[in-house]
Amino acid sequence: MDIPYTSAEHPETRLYNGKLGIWLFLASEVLLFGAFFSTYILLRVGDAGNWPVQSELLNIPLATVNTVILITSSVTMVMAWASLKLERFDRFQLYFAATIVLAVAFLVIKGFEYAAEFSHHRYPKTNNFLAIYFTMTGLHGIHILAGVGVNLYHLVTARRWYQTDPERLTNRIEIAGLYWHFVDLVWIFLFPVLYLI
Amino acid sequence: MTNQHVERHIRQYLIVFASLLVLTVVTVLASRIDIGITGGVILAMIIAAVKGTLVAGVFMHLFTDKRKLIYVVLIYTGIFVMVLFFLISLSFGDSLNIEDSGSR
Repeated sequence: MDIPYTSAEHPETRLYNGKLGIWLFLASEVLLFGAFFSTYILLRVGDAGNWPVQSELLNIPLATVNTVILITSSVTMVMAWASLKLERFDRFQLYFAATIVLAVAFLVIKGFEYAAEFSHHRYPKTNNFLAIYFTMTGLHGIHILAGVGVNLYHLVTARRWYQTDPERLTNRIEIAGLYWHFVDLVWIFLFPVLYLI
Repeated sequence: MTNQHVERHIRQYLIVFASLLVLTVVTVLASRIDIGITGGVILAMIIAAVKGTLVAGVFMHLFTDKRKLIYVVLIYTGIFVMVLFFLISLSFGDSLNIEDSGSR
């Protein structure tokens, strides 16, 4: 069975189906993280006198490194897609692998951050700020993990796709890229909100 | 998209990359300036919005992908997010927030 509009544009939406699909999914993710951001606001404003100084509980240099890592992974992701567009499969593999490596590095550093928090006896149950901090960064981390999984699948199967249907592979990588940029976008807002203000 | 098209975009990607790195440094440095909590929040959100716009516009191709449907979906989403935040600020006026609401 042939799945329609994986490469060709749908006549009514003028997008290939996967692209519309991922944007709809990202819209739902905006609401998911938006709900958590508004939860943060409610918790903090509701307890403004008692709220801990966030920068004293967290490791800003480590998080800054993580921010740079994630932004770089976004660039390598879009370069991977551009390489496929330019039919440079070797470059695509390099950039795509770099994206995955950077994502894993992000998770490893996050692991060290969490370990440091736990070693200071700072747990989600300690106070409201730590609760929302672990929840939001944990949810974000799960999103990164999922992205790593999907990207690994594509890295492994890319050569076969490239030989049989390169345009569809390019579109799949574009879709994976859109998801990845969104995860980066969430972190761009999460970093100042949880660490810096 | 032609090859020249993509290569022009690659240059844009690298420029945006450099801008994002600079803005990250600016964010961290700006957090050390004492402009009060409200000023700090506003400044941090403005910088984050600029970074977000760059990522969404250039990396996610929103500036170049002139398909109305994506914008419509995102505008609807934006409206609902505004409602989410508005609901929170509305809730500050309700009875559960009053100190001695006691037993009712």
